[in-house]
Amino acid sequence: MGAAGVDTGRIQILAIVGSLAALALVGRLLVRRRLREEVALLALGIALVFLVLATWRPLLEKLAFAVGIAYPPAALLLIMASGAYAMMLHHAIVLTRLEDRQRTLVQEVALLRLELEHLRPVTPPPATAGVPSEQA
Amino acid sequence: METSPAALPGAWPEGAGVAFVVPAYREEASIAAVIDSLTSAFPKADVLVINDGSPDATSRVARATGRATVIDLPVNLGIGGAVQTGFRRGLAIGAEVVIQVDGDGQHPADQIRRLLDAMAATGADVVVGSRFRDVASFRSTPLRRMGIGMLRLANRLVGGVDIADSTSGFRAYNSRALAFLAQHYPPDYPEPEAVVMLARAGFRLHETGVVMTERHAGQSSIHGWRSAYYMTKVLLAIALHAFRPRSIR
Repeated sequence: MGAAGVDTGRIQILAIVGSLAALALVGRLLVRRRLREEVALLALGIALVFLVLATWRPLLEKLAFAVGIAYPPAALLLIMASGAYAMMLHHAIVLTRLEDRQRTLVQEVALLRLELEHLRPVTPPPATAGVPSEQA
Repeated sequence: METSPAALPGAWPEGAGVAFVVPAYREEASIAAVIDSLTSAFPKADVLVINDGSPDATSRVARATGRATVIDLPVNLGIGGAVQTGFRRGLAIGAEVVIQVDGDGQHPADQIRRLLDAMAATGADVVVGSRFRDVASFRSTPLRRMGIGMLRLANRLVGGVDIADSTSGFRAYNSRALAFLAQHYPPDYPEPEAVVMLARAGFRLHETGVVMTERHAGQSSIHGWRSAYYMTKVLLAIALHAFRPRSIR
Protein backbone atom coordinates (compact mmCIF):
# COMPACT_ATOMS: atom_id res chain seq x y z
CA MET A 1 0.00 0.00 0.00
CA GLY A 2 1.23 3.51 -0.81
CA ALA A 3 1.48 6.48 1.50
CA ALA A 4 -2.09 7.66 0.92
CA GLY A 5 -3.52 4.20 1.20
CA VAL A 6 -3.44 3.65 -2.55
CA ASP A 7 -2.79 0.15 -3.76
CA THR A 8 0.35 0.54 -5.89
CA GLY A 9 -0.09 -3.02 -7.07
CA ARG A 10 -2.94 -1.81 -9.20
CA ILE A 11 -0.70 0.23 -11.45
CA GLN A 12 1.52 -2.82 -11.77
CA ILE A 13 -1.38 -4.94 -12.94
CA LEU A 14 -2.50 -2.17 -15.27
CA ALA A 15 0.99 -1.88 -16.73
CA ILE A 16 1.20 -5.65 -17.28
CA VAL A 17 -2.22 -5.78 -18.91
CA GLY A 18 -1.42 -2.68 -20.99
CA SER A 19 1.86 -4.00 -22.29
CA LEU A 20 0.35 -7.41 -23.04
CA ALA A 21 -2.44 -5.68 -24.96
CA ALA A 22 0.11 -3.59 -26.87
CA LEU A 23 2.12 -6.71 -27.71
CA ALA A 24 -1.03 -8.50 -28.84
CA LEU A 25 -2.09 -5.54 -30.97
CA VAL A 26 1.29 -5.21 -32.68
CA GLY A 27 1.42 -8.98 -33.19
CA ARG A 28 -2.03 -8.99 -34.75
CA LEU A 29 -1.15 -6.11 -37.09
CA LEU A 30 2.01 -7.97 -38.11
CA VAL A 31 0.14 -11.21 -38.80
CA ARG A 32 -2.38 -9.32 -40.93
CA ARG A 33 0.46 -7.58 -42.77
CA ARG A 34 -0.83 -4.16 -41.80
CA LEU A 35 2.52 -3.39 -40.20
CA ARG A 36 5.95 -4.13 -41.54
CA GLU A 37 8.43 -5.91 -39.29
CA GLU A 38 11.03 -3.18 -39.39
CA VAL A 39 8.52 -0.57 -38.28
CA ALA A 40 7.03 -2.86 -35.64
CA LEU A 41 10.35 -3.80 -34.03
CA LEU A 42 10.56 -0.57 -32.07
CA ALA A 43 6.96 -0.85 -30.90
CA LEU A 44 7.52 -4.47 -29.88
CA GLY A 45 10.74 -3.62 -28.07
CA ILE A 46 9.15 -0.82 -26.07
CA ALA A 47 6.16 -2.97 -25.12
CA LEU A 48 8.51 -5.78 -24.03
CA VAL A 49 10.65 -3.50 -21.87
CA PHE A 50 7.46 -2.18 -20.32
CA LEU A 51 6.19 -5.70 -19.63
CA VAL A 52 9.45 -6.83 -18.01
CA LEU A 53 9.63 -3.79 -15.74
CA ALA A 54 5.98 -4.00 -14.80
CA THR A 55 6.27 -7.68 -13.91
CA TRP A 56 9.64 -7.62 -12.22
CA ARG A 57 9.11 -4.97 -9.60
CA PRO A 58 12.58 -5.18 -7.94
CA LEU A 59 14.23 -4.34 -11.25
CA LEU A 60 11.93 -1.37 -11.72
CA GLU A 61 12.71 -0.18 -8.17
CA LYS A 62 16.42 -0.58 -8.69
CA LEU A 63 16.22 1.35 -11.94
CA ALA A 64 14.01 4.07 -10.48
CA PHE A 65 16.24 4.63 -7.45
CA ALA A 66 19.34 4.59 -9.64
CA VAL A 67 18.05 7.57 -11.61
CA GLY A 68 16.58 9.30 -8.52
CA ILE A 69 12.90 8.51 -8.87
CA ALA A 70 11.36 7.99 -5.40
CA TYR A 71 8.15 6.40 -6.62
CA PRO A 72 9.02 3.47 -8.92
CA PRO A 73 5.78 3.35 -10.95
CA ALA A 74 6.56 6.91 -12.04
CA ALA A 75 9.57 5.41 -13.81
CA LEU A 76 7.12 3.43 -15.91
CA LEU A 77 5.53 6.70 -17.00
CA LEU A 78 8.93 8.07 -17.89
CA ILE A 79 9.71 4.96 -19.92
CA MET A 80 6.33 5.20 -21.61
CA ALA A 81 6.87 8.86 -22.53
CA SER A 82 10.38 8.13 -23.80
CA GLY A 83 9.04 5.22 -25.83
CA ALA A 84 6.35 7.42 -27.37
CA TYR A 85 8.97 10.03 -28.22
CA ALA A 86 11.22 7.42 -29.79
CA MET A 87 8.30 6.14 -31.87
CA MET A 88 7.45 9.67 -32.99
CA LEU A 89 11.02 10.33 -33.99
CA HIS A 90 11.16 7.05 -35.87
CA HIS A 91 8.03 8.01 -37.79
CA ALA A 92 9.44 11.45 -38.58
CA ILE A 93 12.57 9.83 -39.99
CA VAL A 94 10.51 7.46 -42.12
CA LEU A 95 8.29 10.35 -43.29
CA THR A 96 11.29 12.45 -44.28
CA ARG A 97 12.68 9.62 -46.31
CA LEU A 98 9.32 9.00 -47.94
CA GLU A 99 8.93 12.68 -48.75
CA ASP A 100 12.33 12.77 -50.43
CA ARG A 101 11.47 9.74 -52.50
CA GLN A 102 8.01 11.03 -53.33
CA ARG A 103 9.45 14.36 -54.53
CA THR A 104 11.85 12.56 -56.84
CA LEU A 105 9.03 10.37 -58.13
CA VAL A 106 6.75 13.36 -58.78
CA GLN A 107 9.55 15.07 -60.70
CA GLU A 108 10.21 11.91 -62.64
CA VAL A 109 6.52 11.55 -63.55
CA ALA A 110 6.33 15.16 -64.75
CA LEU A 111 9.51 14.82 -66.82
CA LEU A 112 8.40 11.52 -68.32
CA ARG A 113 5.02 13.02 -69.20
CA LEU A 114 6.86 15.79 -71.00
CA GLU A 115 8.81 13.19 -72.98
CA LEU A 116 5.53 11.49 -73.79
CA GLU A 117 4.05 14.78 -75.01
CA HIS A 118 6.91 15.04 -77.43
CA LEU A 119 6.05 11.60 -78.79
CA ARG A 120 2.32 12.24 -79.01
CA PRO A 121 0.32 15.31 -77.99
CA VAL A 122 -1.56 14.71 -74.77
CA THR A 123 -4.02 16.94 -73.02
CA PRO A 124 -2.67 18.65 -69.92
CA PRO A 125 -3.76 17.03 -66.68
CA PRO A 126 -6.72 18.44 -64.80
CA ALA A 127 -5.70 21.16 -62.37
CA THR A 128 -4.96 19.71 -58.99
CA ALA A 129 -5.71 21.43 -55.73
CA GLY A 130 -2.44 21.52 -53.87
CA VAL A 131 -1.28 23.15 -50.70
CA PRO A 132 0.14 26.60 -51.33
CA SER A 133 3.72 26.48 -52.48
CA GLU A 134 6.49 28.34 -50.75
CA GLN A 135 7.02 30.81 -53.51
CA ALA A 136 8.01 34.22 -52.22
CA MET B 1 33.77 40.19 -54.31
CA GLU B 2 33.39 42.19 -57.51
CA THR B 3 30.09 43.87 -57.97
CA SER B 4 30.51 45.50 -61.37
CA PRO B 5 31.99 43.03 -63.82
CA ALA B 6 33.01 44.34 -67.21
CA ALA B 7 30.12 43.96 -69.55
CA LEU B 8 30.61 41.37 -72.24
CA PRO B 9 27.73 41.93 -74.58
CA GLY B 10 27.22 38.95 -76.75
CA ALA B 11 27.73 36.15 -74.23
CA TRP B 12 25.15 33.54 -75.19
CA PRO B 13 23.71 35.71 -77.97
CA GLU B 14 19.95 35.51 -78.30
CA GLY B 15 20.00 33.00 -75.50
CA ALA B 16 21.44 30.06 -77.45
CA GLY B 17 22.44 27.42 -74.90
CA VAL B 18 20.38 29.10 -72.19
CA ALA B 19 17.36 27.59 -70.49
CA PHE B 20 15.01 29.56 -68.29
CA VAL B 21 13.48 27.76 -65.36
CA VAL B 22 10.22 29.43 -64.42
CA PRO B 23 8.48 27.93 -61.37
CA ALA B 24 4.81 28.86 -61.43
CA TYR B 25 2.09 28.34 -58.89
CA ARG B 26 -1.20 30.17 -59.47
CA GLU B 27 0.39 32.52 -61.97
CA GLU B 28 -2.30 32.50 -64.66
CA ALA B 29 -2.41 36.30 -64.55
CA SER B 30 1.28 36.88 -65.16
CA ILE B 31 2.81 33.77 -66.74
CA ALA B 32 2.04 34.68 -70.37
CA ALA B 33 3.70 38.09 -70.02
CA VAL B 34 6.75 36.47 -68.40
CA ILE B 35 7.10 33.93 -71.21
CA ASP B 36 6.64 36.60 -73.88
CA SER B 37 9.26 38.88 -72.39
CA LEU B 38 11.77 36.02 -72.10
CA THR B 39 11.27 34.71 -75.61
CA SER B 40 11.30 38.21 -77.10
CA ALA B 41 14.61 39.07 -75.43
CA PHE B 42 16.17 35.60 -75.95
CA PRO B 43 14.51 33.95 -78.94
CA LYS B 44 16.94 31.01 -79.00
CA ALA B 45 16.58 30.11 -75.33
CA ASP B 46 14.44 27.32 -73.91
CA VAL B 47 11.73 28.45 -71.54
CA LEU B 48 10.82 25.73 -69.06
CA VAL B 49 7.70 26.53 -67.09
CA ILE B 50 7.23 24.25 -64.12
CA ASN B 51 3.61 24.38 -63.16
CA ASP B 52 3.61 23.34 -59.52
CA GLY B 53 0.18 21.71 -59.38
CA SER B 54 -1.67 25.01 -59.79
CA PRO B 55 -5.44 24.74 -59.41
CA ASP B 56 -5.89 27.64 -61.85
CA ALA B 57 -5.20 27.96 -65.58
CA THR B 58 -1.42 28.51 -65.25
CA SER B 59 -0.59 25.46 -67.38
CA ARG B 60 -3.18 26.23 -70.07
CA VAL B 61 -2.16 29.88 -70.33
CA ALA B 62 1.53 28.96 -70.53
CA ARG B 63 0.88 26.32 -73.21
CA ALA B 64 -1.29 28.71 -75.20
CA THR B 65 1.72 30.97 -75.78
CA GLY B 66 3.26 28.15 -77.79
CA ARG B 67 6.69 29.41 -76.78
CA ALA B 68 7.38 27.49 -73.61
CA THR B 69 7.95 23.91 -72.54
CA VAL B 70 5.42 23.33 -69.79
CA ILE B 71 6.14 20.68 -67.19
CA ASP B 72 3.11 19.89 -65.07
CA LEU B 73 3.89 18.50 -61.64
CA PRO B 74 1.05 16.13 -60.71
CA VAL B 75 1.07 17.41 -57.12
CA ASN B 76 2.32 20.59 -55.52
CA LEU B 77 5.95 20.17 -54.45
CA GLY B 78 6.71 23.71 -53.32
CA ILE B 79 9.24 26.04 -54.88
CA GLY B 80 12.32 23.85 -54.26
CA GLY B 81 10.89 20.71 -55.81
CA ALA B 82 9.50 22.69 -58.75
CA VAL B 83 12.75 24.51 -59.50
CA GLN B 84 14.73 21.29 -59.18
CA THR B 85 12.47 19.69 -61.80
CA GLY B 86 13.52 22.50 -64.11
CA PHE B 87 17.17 21.89 -63.25
CA ARG B 88 16.81 18.25 -64.12
CA ARG B 89 15.20 19.12 -67.44
CA GLY B 90 17.86 21.74 -68.13
CA LEU B 91 20.52 19.13 -67.51
CA ALA B 92 18.75 16.64 -69.77
CA ILE B 93 18.61 19.07 -72.71
CA GLY B 94 22.25 20.01 -72.24
CA ALA B 95 21.78 23.66 -71.30
CA GLU B 96 25.03 25.59 -70.77
CA VAL B 97 23.38 28.09 -68.49
CA VAL B 98 20.13 27.84 -66.59
CA ILE B 99 18.50 30.99 -65.34
CA GLN B 100 15.83 30.83 -62.70
CA VAL B 101 13.15 33.45 -63.20
CA ASP B 102 10.04 33.80 -61.03
CA GLY B 103 6.71 33.30 -62.73
CA ASP B 104 5.19 36.36 -61.08
CA GLY B 105 6.97 38.97 -63.17
CA GLN B 106 9.34 40.24 -60.46
CA HIS B 107 12.40 39.53 -62.59
CA PRO B 108 12.41 41.69 -65.74
CA ALA B 109 13.81 40.02 -68.87
CA ASP B 110 16.00 43.03 -69.61
CA GLN B 111 17.97 42.32 -66.44
CA ILE B 112 18.93 38.82 -67.55
CA ARG B 113 21.70 40.23 -69.75
CA ARG B 114 23.38 41.43 -66.55
CA LEU B 115 23.43 37.89 -65.14
CA LEU B 116 24.81 36.40 -68.35
CA ASP B 117 27.45 39.09 -68.75
CA ALA B 118 28.52 38.73 -65.12
CA MET B 119 28.86 34.98 -65.61
CA ALA B 120 30.94 35.42 -68.75
CA ALA B 121 33.11 38.10 -67.17
CA THR B 122 33.78 36.43 -63.84
CA GLY B 123 33.68 32.77 -64.79
CA ALA B 124 31.54 32.18 -61.73
CA ASP B 125 29.47 28.99 -61.50
CA VAL B 126 26.55 30.87 -60.03
CA VAL B 127 25.46 34.46 -60.47
CA VAL B 128 22.89 35.80 -58.03
CA GLY B 129 20.83 38.78 -59.15
CA SER B 130 20.81 41.18 -56.24
CA ARG B 131 18.61 44.09 -55.25
CA PHE B 132 21.30 45.32 -52.92
CA ARG B 133 24.28 45.75 -55.23
CA ASP B 134 24.85 48.95 -57.16
CA VAL B 135 21.34 49.40 -58.42
CA ALA B 136 18.22 51.21 -57.35
CA SER B 137 15.66 48.45 -57.20
CA PHE B 138 12.43 47.56 -55.48
CA ARG B 139 13.87 46.33 -52.17
CA SER B 140 11.11 44.91 -50.04
CA THR B 141 10.06 46.10 -46.58
CA PRO B 142 12.47 47.12 -43.77
CA LEU B 143 11.59 44.03 -41.70
CA ARG B 144 12.32 41.74 -44.63
CA ARG B 145 15.55 43.54 -45.32
CA MET B 146 16.54 42.87 -41.71
CA GLY B 147 15.81 39.18 -42.19
CA ILE B 148 17.82 39.16 -45.40
CA GLY B 149 20.70 40.76 -43.45
CA MET B 150 20.59 37.92 -40.91
CA LEU B 151 20.71 35.36 -43.70
CA ARG B 152 23.65 37.16 -45.21
CA LEU B 153 25.53 36.90 -41.93
CA ALA B 154 24.65 33.21 -41.57
CA ASN B 155 25.88 32.46 -45.08
CA ARG B 156 29.07 34.32 -44.38
CA LEU B 157 29.71 32.37 -41.20
CA VAL B 158 28.83 28.93 -42.50
CA GLY B 159 29.54 29.19 -46.23
CA GLY B 160 32.26 31.83 -46.18
CA VAL B 161 30.47 33.63 -48.98
CA ASP B 162 29.05 37.13 -48.96
CA ILE B 163 25.76 37.27 -50.83
CA ALA B 164 23.75 40.33 -49.83
CA ASP B 165 20.50 39.14 -51.40
CA SER B 166 20.44 35.44 -50.69
CA THR B 167 16.63 35.23 -50.91
CA SER B 168 16.77 36.29 -54.54
CA GLY B 169 15.41 33.62 -56.84
CA PHE B 170 16.83 35.45 -59.86
CA ARG B 171 19.96 33.41 -60.61
CA ALA B 172 22.10 31.99 -63.34
CA TYR B 173 23.80 28.60 -62.98
CA ASN B 174 26.34 27.02 -65.28
CA SER B 175 26.18 23.35 -66.20
CA ARG B 176 28.51 22.29 -63.35
CA ALA B 177 26.34 23.95 -60.75
CA LEU B 178 23.30 22.55 -62.51
CA ALA B 179 24.51 18.96 -62.24
CA PHE B 180 25.02 19.52 -58.52
CA LEU B 181 21.64 21.16 -57.94
CA ALA B 182 19.78 18.51 -59.92
CA GLN B 183 20.91 16.17 -57.11
CA HIS B 184 20.93 18.49 -54.11
CA TYR B 185 18.40 21.25 -53.73
CA PRO B 186 16.46 22.19 -50.58
CA PRO B 187 12.72 21.47 -50.92
CA ASP B 188 11.38 24.46 -48.96
CA TYR B 189 12.56 28.07 -48.99
CA PRO B 190 15.59 26.94 -50.98
CA GLU B 191 17.40 30.10 -52.05
CA PRO B 192 19.47 31.10 -48.99
CA GLU B 193 20.34 27.49 -48.16
CA ALA B 194 21.36 26.78 -51.75
CA VAL B 195 23.92 29.58 -51.43
CA VAL B 196 25.64 27.88 -48.50
CA MET B 197 25.40 24.44 -50.11
CA LEU B 198 27.00 25.65 -53.33
CA ALA B 199 29.70 27.62 -51.53
CA ARG B 200 30.64 24.71 -49.30
CA ALA B 201 30.72 22.34 -52.26
CA GLY B 202 33.37 24.56 -53.82
CA PHE B 203 31.36 26.43 -56.45
CA ARG B 204 32.18 30.05 -57.19
CA LEU B 205 29.36 32.45 -56.52
CA HIS B 206 29.09 35.99 -57.75
CA GLU B 207 26.48 38.59 -57.00
CA THR B 208 25.48 41.27 -59.43
CA GLY B 209 23.05 44.15 -59.17
CA VAL B 210 19.71 43.79 -60.89
CA VAL B 211 16.51 45.78 -60.84
CA MET B 212 13.50 43.86 -59.60
CA THR B 213 9.94 45.04 -59.73
CA GLU B 214 6.97 44.35 -57.51
CA ARG B 215 5.11 41.24 -58.51
CA HIS B 216 2.55 41.63 -61.32
CA ALA B 217 -0.17 39.74 -59.53
CA GLY B 218 -0.80 37.68 -56.41
CA GLN B 219 1.07 38.09 -53.16
CA SER B 220 4.09 36.60 -51.47
CA SER B 221 3.42 33.41 -49.58
CA ILE B 222 5.77 34.54 -46.83
CA HIS B 223 4.05 36.98 -44.55
CA GLY B 224 2.89 37.26 -40.93
CA TRP B 225 3.71 34.22 -38.82
CA ARG B 226 5.19 32.48 -41.81
CA SER B 227 8.00 35.00 -41.83
CA ALA B 228 9.07 33.90 -38.34
CA TYR B 229 8.82 30.27 -39.37
CA TYR B 230 10.74 31.01 -42.55
CA MET B 231 13.61 32.66 -40.70
CA THR B 232 13.82 29.91 -38.08
CA LYS B 233 13.69 27.13 -40.65
CA VAL B 234 16.21 28.69 -43.02
CA LEU B 235 18.68 29.74 -40.32
CA LEU B 236 18.57 26.24 -38.83
CA ALA B 237 19.03 24.70 -42.27
CA ILE B 238 22.06 26.92 -42.92
CA ALA B 239 23.54 26.27 -39.47
CA LEU B 240 23.24 22.50 -39.96
CA HIS B 241 25.54 22.67 -42.96
CA ALA B 242 28.35 23.64 -40.59
CA PHE B 243 28.15 20.07 -39.22
CA ARG B 244 28.12 18.34 -42.58
CA PRO B 245 31.06 17.39 -44.78
CA ARG B 246 32.17 20.42 -46.76
CA SER B 247 31.98 18.83 -50.16
CA ILE B 248 29.13 16.56 -51.09
CA ARG B 249 29.92 16.75 -54.75
